[in-house]
Amino acid sequence: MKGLVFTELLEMVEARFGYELVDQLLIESDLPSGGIYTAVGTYDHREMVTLLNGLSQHTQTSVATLLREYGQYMFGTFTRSYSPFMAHAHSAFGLLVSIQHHIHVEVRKLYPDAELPRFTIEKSTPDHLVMRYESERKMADFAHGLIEGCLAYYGEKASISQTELVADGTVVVFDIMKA
Amino acid sequence: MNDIDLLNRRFNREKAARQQAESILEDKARELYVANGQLQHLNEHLEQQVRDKLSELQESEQRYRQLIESVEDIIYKISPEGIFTFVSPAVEKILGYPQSDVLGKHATRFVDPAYQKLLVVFYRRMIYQKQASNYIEFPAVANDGRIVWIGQTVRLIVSDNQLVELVAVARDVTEKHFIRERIRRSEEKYRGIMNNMELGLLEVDNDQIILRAYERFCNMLGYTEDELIGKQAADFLTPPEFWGVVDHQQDLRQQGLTGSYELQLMHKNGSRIWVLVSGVPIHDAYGKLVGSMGIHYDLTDRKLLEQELARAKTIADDARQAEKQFLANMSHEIRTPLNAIIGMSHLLFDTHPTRQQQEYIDILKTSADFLHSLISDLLDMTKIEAGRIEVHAQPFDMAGLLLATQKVFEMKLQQTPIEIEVMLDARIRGDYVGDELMLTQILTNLVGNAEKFTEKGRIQIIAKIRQEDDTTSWVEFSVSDTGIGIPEEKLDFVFQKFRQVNPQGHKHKGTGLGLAICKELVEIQGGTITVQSQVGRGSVFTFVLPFGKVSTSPNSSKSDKLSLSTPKKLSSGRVLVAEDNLMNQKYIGSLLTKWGVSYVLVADGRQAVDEAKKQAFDLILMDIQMPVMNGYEATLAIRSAHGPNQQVPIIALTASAMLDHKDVALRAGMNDFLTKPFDPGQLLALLHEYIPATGHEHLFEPETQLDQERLEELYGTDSHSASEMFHLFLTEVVPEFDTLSLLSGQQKWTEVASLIHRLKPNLGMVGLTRLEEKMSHIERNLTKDKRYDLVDIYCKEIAVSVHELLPLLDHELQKFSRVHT
Repeated sequence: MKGLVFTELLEMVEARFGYELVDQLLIESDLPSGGIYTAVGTYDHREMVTLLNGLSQHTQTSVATLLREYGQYMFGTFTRSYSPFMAHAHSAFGLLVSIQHHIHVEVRKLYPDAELPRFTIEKSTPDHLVMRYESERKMADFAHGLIEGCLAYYGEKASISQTELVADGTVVVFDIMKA
Repeated sequence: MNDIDLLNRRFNREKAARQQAESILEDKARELYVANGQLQHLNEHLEQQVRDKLSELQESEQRYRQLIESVEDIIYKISPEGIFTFVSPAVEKILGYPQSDVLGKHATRFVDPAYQKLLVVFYRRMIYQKQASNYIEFPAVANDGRIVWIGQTVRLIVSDNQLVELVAVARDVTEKHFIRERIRRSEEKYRGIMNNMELGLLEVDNDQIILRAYERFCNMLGYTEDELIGKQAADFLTPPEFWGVVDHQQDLRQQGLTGSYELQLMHKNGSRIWVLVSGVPIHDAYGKLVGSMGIHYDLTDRKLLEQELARAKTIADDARQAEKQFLANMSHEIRTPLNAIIGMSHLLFDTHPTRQQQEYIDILKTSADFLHSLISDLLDMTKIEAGRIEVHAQPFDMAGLLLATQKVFEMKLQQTPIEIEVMLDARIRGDYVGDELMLTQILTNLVGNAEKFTEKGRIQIIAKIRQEDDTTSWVEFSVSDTGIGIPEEKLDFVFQKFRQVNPQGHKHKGTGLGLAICKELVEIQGGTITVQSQVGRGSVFTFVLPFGKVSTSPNSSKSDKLSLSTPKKLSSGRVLVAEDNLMNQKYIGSLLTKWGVSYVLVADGRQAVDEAKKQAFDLILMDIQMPVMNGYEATLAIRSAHGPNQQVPIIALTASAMLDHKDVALRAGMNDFLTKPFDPGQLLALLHEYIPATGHEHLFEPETQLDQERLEELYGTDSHSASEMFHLFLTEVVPEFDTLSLLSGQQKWTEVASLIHRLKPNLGMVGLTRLEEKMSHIERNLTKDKRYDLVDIYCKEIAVSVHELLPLLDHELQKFSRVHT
C-alpha cells in the first residue's frame, strides 16, 4: 500500500487528536516498518488494518466511520497534490465517471506498483450515477468518504447508498442520486 | 521529559522517513537515469530509421523520375491557373523546347493559335464537369516552327474537393493524325466521286437493315439518311413485285457473290424510279460476311427513253415490214410484165426480123435483162437483210456447176475479145454437199462483175481444195480479170451496199449490190471473201467456202439447167400449164408450140386441179400467184387426191426472186421451180429433165453423128478449147466407161451412180447429146425406179457405144486440131 495513505492517516490523526495519539499508536502497534512511513514508499496493507483497529479502540469510533472520514479528508489531499489529474473534470459525476479510465491510468504511470480498486460505471445520467467498487482491500467505506469529499469539493449535494453485492465487502455498489 | 522523548521519537521517525524517502528517490533517480539512457538510445535508433526511410524514399523518387524521363511521351503538370509546373524531358525531343523554356509558361503557349481556344474550352469543361480523365488532340508548334499533332490524356488531381493540378500524358500523334486525315480525305474524295458519278450507295447488314445511306442515294429517293437508317431496305423501299428479285440477290450476297440487276424503288413522294443496282457483299477484317453494299444508278430517264425507242422501233419495224411487203408485191408486179417482155423478145428473134428490127429487139432484150438483174439484186438484198436466206445444203456436182457457169458466160462473150476459162483442181470430183444455188449466184455475180470492167483479155475461174478433213472440204474459188482494176483506197468499199467504185461515167451501170450480195452469201455459208486489185492490171476476188463431202451421190444434178441448149424434139410430152397472166400464157404457149410439145392451158389453180383429174400429163407448170386457188394449194390438192397426176412432176413458176420460195414450193410437193422471167433455155432444160422419153428403143438409136449444133454452141470458133476437150475425153474419160461396165457387173450401185453422175456432163461436152440423155435415163432407172437389171444392160450398151464412136470422136479432134494449127 502506498506510503501516502499511511502518512495522510497519521497527519489526520495528529491534526485531530495530537501527536501523542500518533506516538501511542505506533508504539502499541509494533509494526514491521517500525512506524517509519514516507509518502513515496510502499508498505504492507496489514499495517493499515492494525493502525485503524488501534485508532478505533482509542477513539471509540468504528473502523467504517474512520475510513469514511479519512476518505473525505483524503479527497482534500488529492485536490492539492494531484490537481492535474482532476483538471479535466468540471463536476462530481464527471470526475467519478473518469476514475477508472483516466485517473487510475495516470496514477499507474506515476506509481507502477500501486494497488488500485476497480470502478465500473453501471448507470450514468446527469442526476443519477451507479458505480461498482471491486477490491481485495475491502475499503468501500474509504471510497464512500472520497465520493462525499468529491461532492463537497464541487459544492454538490447527493444521497449516496452503499450496497454490498458480496458479503465480505469486496464488491460494493454505490447509488448516487442528486438531490 | 515525556515531551522530550516524544519529540525525540518524532524526530527520529521523521529522520528515518526522510532517509528512507531519499533512498527511494535515489533509486528512482537511478531508474530515471537508466530510462533516460534507454530513451536516448531509442531516439537515436528512430532517427536512423527516419534517415533510412528518407533515403529509400529518395531512391524511389529517383526511380520514378528516371521512369518519367525515359518515357517517350511528354508528362507534365499544370497548375489550376494553367501554368506548367512540371514537364518531362521528352518535350525537348518531341517539340524541341528545353524543359526550362516550358516551366512557368501557360498551357496554351505552345498550341497552334487556331486551336488555343478549343483547348481552353476543353480544360474548362473538364474542370467544370469534374471529369476525372479526358482525351484531346491538337496541333502544337514546335521550336523549329513545325506543326506536331499532340494527343494527350489529362487527369484532374483533386484533394478535399479542391483542384490541385492537372496531370497530362501527351504523345506525338502526327503520323496517326495524317494517316487518319488521309483516310478521311480519301473517303471524302471517293464519296465526292460517288456523288459526282450519280451513284447512290447503300449499306445494309445481313438482314438488309440499312446501316448507311449516302447523300446521292438519299437524294434519289427524297429521304434523309436518318429516315433510312434502321429500316428494312426491301420492305421500305422496294415495291412488292420486286421482292423476288431482291430475295434472289440477297441469296447471292449471302453466298459471297456479286450481282447486277434492275429494279424499281419507291420515292418518298410515292413515285417510282428505275435503278440499275450493282450489289457486293461486305466482309469484315476477319473475312466474315457482315452485309452488303448496293450501288444504285438512276435509270428512270433511260427507261423512258427505252420505252420511246421501243415504240419508235415498233413503228419503224412496221414501216419496214410494209416496205418489204411492198417490195415483194413489186417483185410480182414488175416481173410479170418483164417476163413477158423478155419472153416476147426471144420470140421476136424467131419471126425473121429485118436487120434493123433485130437491132431494136437486141436493145429491148438487153434493157429488159438489165432491169431484171437490177430487180433481182434488190430483192435478194432485201431477203438477205431480212435474215430469210437459209443455206440449203444438198449434194451437187461442183465441177459441172463451174463448167456450166463458164458456158453461160462464153455465150455472152462470144462477140467480145474476152476469154473465160475454168481451172479445176484435179481433186475436185464428184458431189459436194452445199448450197448449189448460192454458189452459182456468187460465181455469176463475180464473173458478171469482172465482165463489166474488162474490155479485153481473160476472165479466169480457179477452184482448188484449200483444206480437207474427213467431213469437210474447204474450196477456194477465185475469179480474176484483166480489167481496169480498183484503186487501193477504194478496195474497202467494194463489198459495201450501193457503193460503186468504178469511175464516173463508166459505161456499166448496176445497183451496186452485186458484190455486197456475194459477201453476204459467202458469210452466211461460213466462208470469207477478199479482193486484190491493181489499177490497169485487173482484180482477183477470192472466196473460200466449206462443203460437206460425199463419197457417193444418188441424186441427179441439174447442173446444166441454165445452159441454153438448142431445142430438140420433145416428141411425146403432154404439159399442163397453169398461168393466169395472158402475156405469160402466150410466151410459154409459143415456146411449147415451137418445140412441138402439146399442152393444155388453164388460168387458175382450181381449173388446174380439175384438168389434172381428167387426163394424165407428163409435166405441170404451175404459177404460184393465181386467182381462186394459188399454186401451192393446187399442188397439195393434186398430190393428195388419187388421180392420173398424183405423181406427176410439178414445176413452180414464180415471179419472186426470193430464195425461200423454193423451199415452200418443195414442201408443197413440187419437184422444182423456175423463176420468172426465164429464158427459153431454162424451160427447155426442165422439160428435158422431167419429160420421160416415150420408149428406150427410141432413145437408144445409135449415135451416128455428133451434135454439131451443140458443139458450135459450146466452142464456137474456139477450136483450141474444143480440141483440148476432145483430147481429154479420149484419154481420160473413155476408160471410165469400162470401169462403169465393170462396176455395174459387180452390182456396186452406189459407185455406179456416182460414176454416171460424173461422166454424164462429159458426153455433152463432146457433142454426144443422145448418150448424155441415155445416161439421165439410166440414172432414173437406178435411183427412182430401182431397175438394176436394166441399169446393168444399159451400162454395157453405153460402154460399147462409146467404143464404137471412138473413130468419130477421133475424126472430130483431127478437124479441130487442123483448124487450130
